[in-house]
Amino acid sequence: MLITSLALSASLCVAAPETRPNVLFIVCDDLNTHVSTSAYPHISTPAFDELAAAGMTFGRAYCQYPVCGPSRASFLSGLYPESTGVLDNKSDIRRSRPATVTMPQRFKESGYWTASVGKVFHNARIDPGMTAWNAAARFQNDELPLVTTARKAFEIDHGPIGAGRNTRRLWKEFLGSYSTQTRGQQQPGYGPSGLLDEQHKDGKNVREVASWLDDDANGNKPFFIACGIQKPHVPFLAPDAYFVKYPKNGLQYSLTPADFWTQAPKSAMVKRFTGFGFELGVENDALRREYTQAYHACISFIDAQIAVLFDSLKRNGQWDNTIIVLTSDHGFHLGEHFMWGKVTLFETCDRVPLLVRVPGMTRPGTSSDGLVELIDLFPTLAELCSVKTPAELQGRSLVSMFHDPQSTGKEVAYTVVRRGGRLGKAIRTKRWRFARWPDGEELYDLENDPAEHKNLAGSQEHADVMQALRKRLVETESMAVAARR
Amino acid sequence: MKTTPLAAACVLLVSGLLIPNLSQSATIDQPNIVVILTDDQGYADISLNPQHPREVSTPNMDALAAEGALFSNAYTSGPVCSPTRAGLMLGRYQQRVGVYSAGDGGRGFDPKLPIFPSFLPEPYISTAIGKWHLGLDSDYPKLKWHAMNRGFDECYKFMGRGGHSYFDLRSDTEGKFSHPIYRNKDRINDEGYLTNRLTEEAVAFIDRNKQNPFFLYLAYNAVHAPPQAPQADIDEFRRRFPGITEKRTILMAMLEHLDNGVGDVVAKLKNEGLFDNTILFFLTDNGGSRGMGANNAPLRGFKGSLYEGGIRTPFIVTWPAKFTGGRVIDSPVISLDILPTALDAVGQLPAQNDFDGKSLLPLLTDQSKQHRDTLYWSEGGQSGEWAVRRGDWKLHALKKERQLFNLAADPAERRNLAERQPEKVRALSEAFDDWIAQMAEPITSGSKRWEAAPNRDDLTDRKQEKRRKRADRKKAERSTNSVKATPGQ
Repeated sequence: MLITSLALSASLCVAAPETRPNVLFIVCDDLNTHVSTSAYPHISTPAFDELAAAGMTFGRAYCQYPVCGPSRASFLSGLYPESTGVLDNKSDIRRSRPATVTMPQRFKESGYWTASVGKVFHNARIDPGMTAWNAAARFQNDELPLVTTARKAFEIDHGPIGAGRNTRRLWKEFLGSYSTQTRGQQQPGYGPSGLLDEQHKDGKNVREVASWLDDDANGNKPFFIACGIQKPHVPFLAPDAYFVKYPKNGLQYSLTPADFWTQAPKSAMVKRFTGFGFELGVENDALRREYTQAYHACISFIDAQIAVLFDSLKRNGQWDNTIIVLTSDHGFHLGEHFMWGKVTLFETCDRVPLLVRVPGMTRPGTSSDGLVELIDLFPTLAELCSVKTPAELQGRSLVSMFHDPQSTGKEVAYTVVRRGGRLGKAIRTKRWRFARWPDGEELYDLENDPAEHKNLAGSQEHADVMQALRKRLVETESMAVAARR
Repeated sequence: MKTTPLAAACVLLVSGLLIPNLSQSATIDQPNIVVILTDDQGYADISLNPQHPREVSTPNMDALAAEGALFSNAYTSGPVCSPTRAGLMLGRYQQRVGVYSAGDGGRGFDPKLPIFPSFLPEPYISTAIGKWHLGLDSDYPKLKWHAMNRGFDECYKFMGRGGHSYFDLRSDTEGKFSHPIYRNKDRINDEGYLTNRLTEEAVAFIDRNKQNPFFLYLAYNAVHAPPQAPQADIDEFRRRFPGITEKRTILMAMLEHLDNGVGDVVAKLKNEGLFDNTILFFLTDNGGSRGMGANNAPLRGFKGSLYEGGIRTPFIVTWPAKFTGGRVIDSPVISLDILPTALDAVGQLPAQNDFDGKSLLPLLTDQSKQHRDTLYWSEGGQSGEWAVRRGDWKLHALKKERQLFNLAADPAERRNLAERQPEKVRALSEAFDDWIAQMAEPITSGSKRWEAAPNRDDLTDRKQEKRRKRADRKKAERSTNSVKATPGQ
């Protein structure tokens, strides 16, 4: 009698032509555009370069929400956050919008062998599990040698860590003050981990993919493998060798005018910088270098892991038959606008690296400055793989842009973020970024002010632009909520 | 799910790392065992039931069903908390040890009888988390009925009575729903929302024991009374579903915490690579409670009744390493089957045994469709309610009354066929007679079978109190009505 929606999945299976390409979908966590392929010169990311040389680089790709959970719920379902109902990391699309069919579920139902490793959906609890995946794995870092040492020291005084709640709390406090590496997330940890690549989550993630490929885990089906790379999310830990690449005194960054926040609405900011140990409007050069070095080390570390993925595709003869997407869930502030972390609508936080390589379609080494959104990936991959999409998808396939790198793409990219019970909303056009907050507006001229230092929202000179963008935002938001349930 | 701890270890080995102590964690011969028992959850208060009301959303429980097998004809051995728990721990009809009612079970059966963890082989570490309700702590600090004097290695739990306050987790307060929380044998003062605390304790237990096979008995007290949930969650449900009663609004907020707890425990198993080789059972202890506003659609009756609404449970078993998920199994099964199934999974179930439960593995691994012939329920002589199910037929008895239902045609038990099928009634009655003859006398008082007029002295204090209150209430109602009936004065 409890015949459930479980039964549905069987009936949706269709015989698939076996010529369909494989998909390797790589999504990084909190990775901003500090990669070589996004014209950031102070970093070395050869795997990104390799993929860019083989396919197409999108210079203006935007997330729909600058926080992991909502962004992932959005692009994995092909819907704007206002339609998924997932506007924070706690929400579960299965509750907020029951029966939403996600991209991997659609691929699985269409005859693909689907697999997930690492952080693809925000966490294991909200992950759709077997509904979407044939195989799934999540890993933990091995214990840091520093933690082992710390534990021994701790247990002499306090006894075993597992003994009680109180001991666990003391242990956390002890760890937090033991070294920068052993801190938690609130005051983010950072530093050389003392581990090898393959002892890190991401090292394990990519090696799991490699072993699926080596074992032909997909059998005679084409595969859709999603690899959730977990760095450079805090804590900024990476094997020691990657720190050596970025000496602190060699790091470059640009300064934000000290009075920036006198001209922008207060709700455009988030207070996360205090957790990192900064003060608003005050540069702390030494600390900024510490974190930036660690963030960059993490990027070089994940680049090396992504290279492992590429090698395993080549080793298994799948390189020429696999579509590769490489992107991130959103960007990240490293002191720009005195902000640290995510959850803003600035370019730094909303723009993501996006590289796509479709064998036989994208031309090697091409790039596009057309505006695209992460929700476009679901319809794009579905089209390329002859997978029927749910009718309500809100993104637009990028396939025509693969053929025409000069295409201007979308007229606007749309990103929202929650502030209390309300939303801040921003549209990015080719030239402008316009944001509307509960307590004000922002307008930046990205052509002449790419760092977004001068808010033009109050300027008479831009009254016409503002009026047009206000109207445009209203249109965009009504479209974005249209698939809400 | 492909990655087993073993496979993960291999990956490390291949990569040339030295592993100082090779993982002793669960192998296919020694899977982890997890029993998640919820409390008073309605049959339609889980969203995998297509008849669930729209305010019900339990994605984490639903996901479990997608990854394992869902039994569509699963029963608990009792219609209230304590008897079901006794049967689950014994793998035998709890009536064999004299447990017929919550009073019997709550007082506790002979603590020397072996229960669940005593049957598990040496390397298993076991914990009991949550509601115990298998004997009280009146002999504190001796604690004869305490889980750790009966085979469990550790615990975080409360001993007696059906309910516990969700917010008052202190051991130095006393009230209907406030009684001591034990960490192992110590009474502690804790804080938090109880459902979440139980989840945290379960997750911490898994974390501590990821290197060895374990048995986690996680007996949530949600969604048992008292109706209590964090105010913000209640407000959110009220906003989203303004049409439902206040009680049900609270129930839904409690259910959301419960479902998230299930999700967190499963997520922890997955994050540690343990889920594949864990045999996990999910069920509730009896039907949803009318007093809490539960919904048992499409079934008749509530907690406390031997109609289907009192004893049918959503029942899910997962073990990805052993059998494929997403299946619905229709053969009738009962909560007594859990212990024998777990023992079968660890290779410790003798072919000849005294359990009334039967291993579910043949059903789960598609080796068999036949499971069992007949199931029995009895609340003892004081209530006079008993039932028998054989095939699609169910005989329901209440004192002198007999009702016969065909559950295949009439799952809601609306059409009594007793008069049309007297020979069926007779056969099932005889089966019950044979069965009850083998059972023990009730622990507290009264007899196994209903007698026309039990002595008032035989009633438990609580029942006497209840009767007195009911009589008072009726009296009060009568007097109110008489006032209303005389207008114009």
